[in-house]
Amino acid sequence: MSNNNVKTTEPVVGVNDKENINEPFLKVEDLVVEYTSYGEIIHAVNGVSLQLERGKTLGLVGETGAGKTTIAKSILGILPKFSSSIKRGQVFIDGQDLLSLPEKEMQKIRGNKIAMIFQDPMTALNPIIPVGKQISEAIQLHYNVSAKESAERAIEMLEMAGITGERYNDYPHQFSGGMKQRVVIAMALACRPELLLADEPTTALDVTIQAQILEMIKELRDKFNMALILITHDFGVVAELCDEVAVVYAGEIIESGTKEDIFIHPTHPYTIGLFDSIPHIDSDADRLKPIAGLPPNPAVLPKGCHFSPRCPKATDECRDQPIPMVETSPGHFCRCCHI
Amino acid sequence: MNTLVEVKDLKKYFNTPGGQLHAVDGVSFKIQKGKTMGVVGESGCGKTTLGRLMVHLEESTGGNIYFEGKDITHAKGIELKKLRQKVRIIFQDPFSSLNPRMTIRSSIQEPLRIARNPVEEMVMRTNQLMDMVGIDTRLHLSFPHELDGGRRQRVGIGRALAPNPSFIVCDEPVSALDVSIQAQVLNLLQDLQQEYGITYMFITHDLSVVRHISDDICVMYLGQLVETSPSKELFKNPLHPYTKALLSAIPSTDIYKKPKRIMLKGELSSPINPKPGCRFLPRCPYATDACREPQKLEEILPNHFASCCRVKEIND
Amino acid sequence: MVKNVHETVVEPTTKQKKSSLFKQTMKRLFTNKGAVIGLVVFLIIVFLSVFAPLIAPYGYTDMDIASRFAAPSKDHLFGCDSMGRDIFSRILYGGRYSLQIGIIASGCAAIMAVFIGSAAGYFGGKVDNALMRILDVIQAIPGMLLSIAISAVLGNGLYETIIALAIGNVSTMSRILRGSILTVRKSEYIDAAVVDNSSNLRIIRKHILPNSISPLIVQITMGCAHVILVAASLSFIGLGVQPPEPEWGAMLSAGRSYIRDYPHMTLFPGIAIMLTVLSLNLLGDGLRDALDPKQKR
Repeated sequence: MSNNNVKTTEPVVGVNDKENINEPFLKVEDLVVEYTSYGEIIHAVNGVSLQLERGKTLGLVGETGAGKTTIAKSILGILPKFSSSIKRGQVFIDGQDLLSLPEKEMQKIRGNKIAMIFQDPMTALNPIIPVGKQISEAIQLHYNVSAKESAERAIEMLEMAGITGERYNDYPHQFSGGMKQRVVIAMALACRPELLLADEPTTALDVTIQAQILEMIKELRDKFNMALILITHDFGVVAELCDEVAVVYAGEIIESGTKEDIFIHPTHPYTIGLFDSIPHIDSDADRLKPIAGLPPNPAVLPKGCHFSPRCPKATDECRDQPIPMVETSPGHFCRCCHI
Repeated sequence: MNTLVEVKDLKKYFNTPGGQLHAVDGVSFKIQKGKTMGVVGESGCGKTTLGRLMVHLEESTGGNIYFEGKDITHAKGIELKKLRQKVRIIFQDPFSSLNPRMTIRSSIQEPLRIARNPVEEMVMRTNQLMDMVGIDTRLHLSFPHELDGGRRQRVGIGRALAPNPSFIVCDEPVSALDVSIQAQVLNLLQDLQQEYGITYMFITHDLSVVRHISDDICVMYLGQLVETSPSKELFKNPLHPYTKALLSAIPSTDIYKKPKRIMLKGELSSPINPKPGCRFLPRCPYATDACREPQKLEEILPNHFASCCRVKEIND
Repeated sequence: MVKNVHETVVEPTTKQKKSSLFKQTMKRLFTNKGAVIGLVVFLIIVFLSVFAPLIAPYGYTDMDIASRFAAPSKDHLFGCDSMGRDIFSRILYGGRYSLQIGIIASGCAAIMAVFIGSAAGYFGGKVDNALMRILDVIQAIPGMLLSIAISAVLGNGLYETIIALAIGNVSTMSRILRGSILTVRKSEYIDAAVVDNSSNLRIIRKHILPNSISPLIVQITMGCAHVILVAASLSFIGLGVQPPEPEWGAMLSAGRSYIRDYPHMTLFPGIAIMLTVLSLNLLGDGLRDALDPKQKR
C-alpha cells in the first residue's frame, strides 16, 4: 500500500546482524495482511511499521476492525491459515525474522519469547483442567523441569498475579472475571516472555477491577523488563500505561509518537476527532463532536487517504494518492498532507 | 419540581438453586420530567434488572413504581398496554435487539401496527421516525445484518420513540459502539430530549458517558443505592467510599494528572442471600463494626444522598 | 381514495422484503454444489414418480411368465421379478408410495412439531415439562417398534403407515424446534416485542418462528429420508404397504429370497432408496447453511 512510509525508506541495515546494538528489540516492517472472505479480499493491515524496546509499552489505539488484533496475531504467527495471508513485510525480534521461521521454531518462540492475552479470559482457559495445572503444563512445555518444579513455579506465578496458591486446584468457572484475567496473565507470563501482546485485556472488566489489573500489568512489566504492546480503544488506559502510541485506522498507522506527542499535540484529523468524540471525565462539554460517517469497508478502501471521506479537511490531493508518513517533530509521525 | 417517575423501596428477588438472589434490594429515587437520571454501577449491581422493572419486563417482588403520580407497579391488561406506549426501552446490544428477519422499517413500525394505527398515519409516522433518528431513505428496507452497530442502535431508538413516549429507559445504549459512533448516538439522544422533552433513565457502566449525559446520578452496588445526587455534585464531591473508589478508578486521558487511586481489595461479593449490613463492607477501607447494621440512604448535603454510617467521619 | 394511495405505498415494502430474503437464501443454496445435486436428483425422482404412467413401459402388475427373473436387458431395463413383472416400471410406480409416505409423514410431523415445540419452548415451565415428558415416553420406544405397534393397531395400508411414521417423528422434530426456540427466546428482540405490546401469538408467529424454524426445515428433509427408510423396512417385514403395490421396501423384501441368484431384484430398489435418501440429505445439509440470514451470500 504505502511504500513511502518514512521508516521504510531508511536503509534496513544489520538486520541479520545480531551484534548490532542499535537494532530495536521488536521491529515490524511494512506488514501487509489480507483476509479472503466469500471471494472478497479484506485489506486488514496495509503497510504497518513499528518498533519497540524492552521495558517499553506501545499502545495500539483504534476502532473495531481497524486491524489492531491482526497486527498482534501476525507478530505471534497465529493468523488463521486458510483465510488469511501475510502479503508483505517482516517481523524481527532481536534481529531474528519471525515470518520466515518454520512453524516448529515459532512454537518455541510462542509462549517463551512472545505471549498474548486476549479480551475474553474464558476462551484462553480450558474449563476442565485446574488453573494451576494449566500453568504448570505451559511451563513444562517450554522448560525441561520436573512436574514438582513446574507446579512450584506455577504457584509462584499465581501469587505474583495476586491469587493465593491455595487456588491451584480450582477450575476456571470458580473464578470471577477479574480473577480469570489474572490467571490468564499468570499463564502468559509463566515462561518469562520478553514481549507481551495484550489485546483489550481489561475491556470486559469493571473499572475497579480494571484498575487492579492495569496496576498489576504495570508492575510485572517493570519487574521482567518486558516489551508490551497494548491494544485498546480506551485512551484512558493508554494514558495510564503506555510510553508510545500508534493510532490505527483502516489497517494503517495514521499517527505515532510518544504519549505526549499524541495526547498533547494530536495532529492527524482522525486522532483529533477521536479525542473530541469521547466524553471527558474531567471536563463539561454540552455536546460531543463526533466524527461524521463510518470507518471504510476494508474490502473497498478509498484510493488516497483512507480517512478522507470522513475528514473535514480533505481536499482532492488527499483522495488521489497514498499519503506518506511525515515526521512532524522528532519521533512524531503523521500520515496527513495538511499538517 | 415536576416528578415524572418515582420509585419507592423497589425490590426484585430471583430464586436460584443457591438461594435468593437480591438483584434489586430496596431502591428509591425520583426522576424529574425532561431530565436524565443516570444509573451507574458495575456488572451484577442490578442496574439492568432495575431498568427491566421500569418497563414491566420483570414483575417486582416488593415496593412501588409511580408514573405521572399513578401507582403502576402491578399494571395489567389495558392499563399496561397504555403504559407501554408511554414508557419505552432502548436495549444494550444493537445486534440482538432487532429481529434479523424483519426489515428495519417493519421493526420501527411494529409498535404502531400493534396499536392499530390507521395505515396512512403509520406510514407517515414511520417515515418521520426514520428521519428523526437519521436513517437514509435508501436503507429503509435493509435488514439489520446489513447495517453497522451505530445505525442499528438508531433503529432501536426509532422503535422506542414510535408511540411518542414520555419516558425512555436506555440500557447501556452506547456500550457496544465504537467511540466515534458512540458520540453520534449520544448527541442524537440529547437532541431528541431537547426537542420532545423526553425523560431518560440512562443505565451504564461508563462513568464518563454518564457524567456527560445525566442531570442526576444514582450509584448502585449489589442491588442497593449507595449514593445519589446531581451529576456535577457527585463528580466533584463523592461521599460514599464506593463512589470515591469508582471515580478514582477511571483511567484519565490527562497524562499529567497522576491519579490518587483508591485501590479496592477483592471483587463483588455474591448477591445471593446477602448479609444485612452494608454490602460494600468486605471491600471498604473504612469498614467498622457499625457497618454491620443495615444502612439507610440519608440526605447528607442538599439533594445529595448517601447510604453510609461513617460518611461524616470519612469526609471530614 | 386516499387510503388506497397509501396502501400502495405500503405494499411494495412487504413485497420487496419477502422476495429479497427468499432470494438471498436461494442464492446461497445454489452456490452449494451438494445441495444443487441433491435438489436436481430429488426433482428427477419426483418427476419420474409423478409421470410414472407415461414413462413406465409396462404396468406395475403386468406379469409375463416367460420373462421371470429376466436379467436387465433392452426390453426390461432393470430386469424382471419372480412373477415376470418389469422392475423398472415397478420402481417408477413405487416411488409414488415412498415419496408420498416420506413427504406427507414428515410434513404432518413438522406441523404437529410447530405447535408442540412452540408451546413448550415459548411458554416454558409447566407446559414445557408436561409436553416434554409425553414426548419422552414416545421417544423411549424404539422408532421401529413404535411404527410396528401403530401399524398393528391401525392395520396395513398407505395412510395407516403415514400416520404411524408421522407420530414416530413428532418427538424429534418438536425437540429440535423447542431447542432452537429456547435460544431465540432469550434475544433482546423478544423483550422488545413484549414492550411493543405484541400478543403471545404474534410474538411466536412474527419473531420466534421465523428465527427458529430453519433447523426444523432441515429436519423435514432429513426426516423425509428417514421416513422413507423406515417405511421400506416396515414393508420389508410385511407391514405397511401390501403387495402387489410396488413399494420399494416391499420389493426389496420380495427379492430377498433370490438375492444369490438374481441380485438385480434387490439391487435396483435398493439404489432407488439410496438415491432418494442421499439427495434429501444433501439438500438438507445445503439448506442448513443457506437459511442463516447473517451469511453474506
